[in-house]
Amino acid sequence: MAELAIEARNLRKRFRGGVVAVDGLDIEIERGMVYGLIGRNGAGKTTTLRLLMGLLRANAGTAHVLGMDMWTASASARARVGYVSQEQQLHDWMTVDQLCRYAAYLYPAWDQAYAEHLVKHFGLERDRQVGKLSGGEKRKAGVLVALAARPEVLLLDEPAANFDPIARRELVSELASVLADDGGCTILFSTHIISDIERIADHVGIMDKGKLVTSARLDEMQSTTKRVQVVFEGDTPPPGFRVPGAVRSEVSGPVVSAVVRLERDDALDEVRRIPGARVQVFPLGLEDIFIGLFGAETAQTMTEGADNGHGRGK
Amino acid sequence: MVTAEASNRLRETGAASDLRWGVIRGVLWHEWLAHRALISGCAAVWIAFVWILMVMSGPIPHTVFGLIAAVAFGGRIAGAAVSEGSEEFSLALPPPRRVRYLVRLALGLGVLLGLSVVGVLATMHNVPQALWGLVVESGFTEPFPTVEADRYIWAVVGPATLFAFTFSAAAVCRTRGDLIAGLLLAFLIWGSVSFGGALVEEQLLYRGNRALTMMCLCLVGAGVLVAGGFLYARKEGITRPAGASSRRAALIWLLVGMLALVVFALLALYGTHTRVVTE
Amino acid sequence: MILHFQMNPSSGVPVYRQIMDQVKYYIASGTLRYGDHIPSIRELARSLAVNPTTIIKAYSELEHEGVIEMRHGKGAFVADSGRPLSPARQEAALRPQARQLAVEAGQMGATENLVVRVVKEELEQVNRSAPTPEPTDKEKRDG
Repeated sequence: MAELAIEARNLRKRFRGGVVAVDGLDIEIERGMVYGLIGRNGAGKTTTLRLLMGLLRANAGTAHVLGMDMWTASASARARVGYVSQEQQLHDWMTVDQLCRYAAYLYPAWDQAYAEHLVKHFGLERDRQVGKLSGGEKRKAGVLVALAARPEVLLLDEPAANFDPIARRELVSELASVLADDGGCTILFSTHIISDIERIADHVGIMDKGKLVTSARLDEMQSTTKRVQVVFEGDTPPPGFRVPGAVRSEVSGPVVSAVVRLERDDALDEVRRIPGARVQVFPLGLEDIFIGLFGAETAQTMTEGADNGHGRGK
Repeated sequence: MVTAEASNRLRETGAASDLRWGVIRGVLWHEWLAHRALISGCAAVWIAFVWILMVMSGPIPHTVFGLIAAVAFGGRIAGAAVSEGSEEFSLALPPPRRVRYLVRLALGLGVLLGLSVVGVLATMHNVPQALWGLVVESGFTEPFPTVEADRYIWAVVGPATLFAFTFSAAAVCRTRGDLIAGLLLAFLIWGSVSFGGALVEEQLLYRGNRALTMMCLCLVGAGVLVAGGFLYARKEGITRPAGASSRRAALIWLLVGMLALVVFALLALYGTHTRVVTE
Repeated sequence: MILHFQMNPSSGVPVYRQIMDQVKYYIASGTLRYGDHIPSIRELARSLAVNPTTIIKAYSELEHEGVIEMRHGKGAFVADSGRPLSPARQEAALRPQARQLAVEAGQMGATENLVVRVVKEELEQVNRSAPTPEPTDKEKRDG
């Protein structure tokens, strides 16, 4: 199918009270992509996911998943999309077993064998009521339902928030399995954990103030954004010196350190030709790319672990 | 547990009608599981009263019990998700809102009507007493004074229409606080319509029975259910923090207060007038 | 066999490159030999918790370079011979790294003798752990 897995055009959502959570968002995600969404708290990630899932109504613009508006879609269409939210409250009175049985009724693609495997893998007790599970276990139960439904699109809102590192690795590893088994599955997830994006995502998007500020292929970002360090002889660099393609640059004594967008392989050749200049190029991890592109303060708030603020204006 | 083969089969056939029925069955199973304590508890008490204790002789106990059940059912079946805080999860699941609404309505109204109709019919024809009479010689077998049929009909219509109001109100609420206020509001609106209608019918139209009121009430009830359905279909699936709707809650309580006064006044009027008429 | 793959997703080096380098290292050091089974794409994706497309990319590059071969339905195996490429292709593959080496050496002012000596020593190290096989007919495979 040629349709986009996820598409939003000029999406806008204003809450009562005046908070504009999403302000003209455009996003296109093709089938099979794994898209990591990052942004500081309040940037609009949770609201965007809720709008896509049909939990909130947009004030303007469109949001389509698999070509349909989730507000008006039928049950069989909606069963192709899975959703896990950080703040989801499952039915406390249901046992894990009953939850699986309920989901089996609702999702035609429900994979009972996989559900049982996940129950064991996540260490959940089948006859335990959800209300009696710990916070992490509740989230795992939610993830279980979403994954075992074998959806074509997965919308995950900070799925591993408040998980310990082991549980988080298990989740990412499980997502990797899902991708390996079911190559067409599209995943859109929001997170604060950059290394998870580096592991599993092939695209990354940055949201700020309700808009998608940057959207790029991960490998492109990593291969073209580098730290370039030029060390000159003498006390200072030549006057008017600039590293071509630099986004952010710092000078300290004879050292110029810049985060650079390298468009071509030979972009730095002219710098190398400057007499007395020693050029070094360093690869950057995603976190360093953000810090380089947006400044340490902004990037830190984007990557700060989920704080205790619960969702308002997210 | 649904077996792997069964779910594979479902996946393979994928027929839309299969799924629709499966979804309805799933939602029904879920709603039953969620509310079975309340439903079976009410049913047990009702049946005990009608068939065993026979306290429910005559329409008034039926009506009273029916009204209480209507509020409980309406509030609980439609409002459980809100008060649990699980709306976000529920609404992210495949069944569209309209299916959820209709299944819940069918369950609640179905049980309520079933219980009240059977109970009323039984009492009207003195069936419990007759049955006990076969078993035991007791003072319970004295015949009860006959009452106009319309009061028995009211014992069915009243709770059913009240259920319509409370169910819609609960479906539309967003927070627990709203829920309680909404239920009260529903009860008061229903009360004003029914007593107001009865007053109008008896005093201005000089009709003995309240058939017109009951028909109006049914129409209004149906309208309220439809309106509730539309509003529920537009409902956004997040549980707002309690503080966010304090202004709305205050408004609702104000309405509640005003309506309480209205109903009280109507009741007083009605009470004094009927006393005058029958003397 | 279950081999450990060291992988740092945040190092800035693309994941598929890291995997490729490690497979090559294991082969060069003799830990993996001709015919040995390499973890399937799914297994490796799961155990490393990375997107399987990166594994696919790594494996297909490795297959293209003749380092491994994918047998349909059976998985990935180490291809025979440590030098399946023609000299022309070997040169093309090694030149970028050589350039980098030359640039760095030039910047620090190292002598040519020093550079050559270092390279020779490293080659000896590698060859000591895995005996260099004779060039086979398969060299003509890719052309």
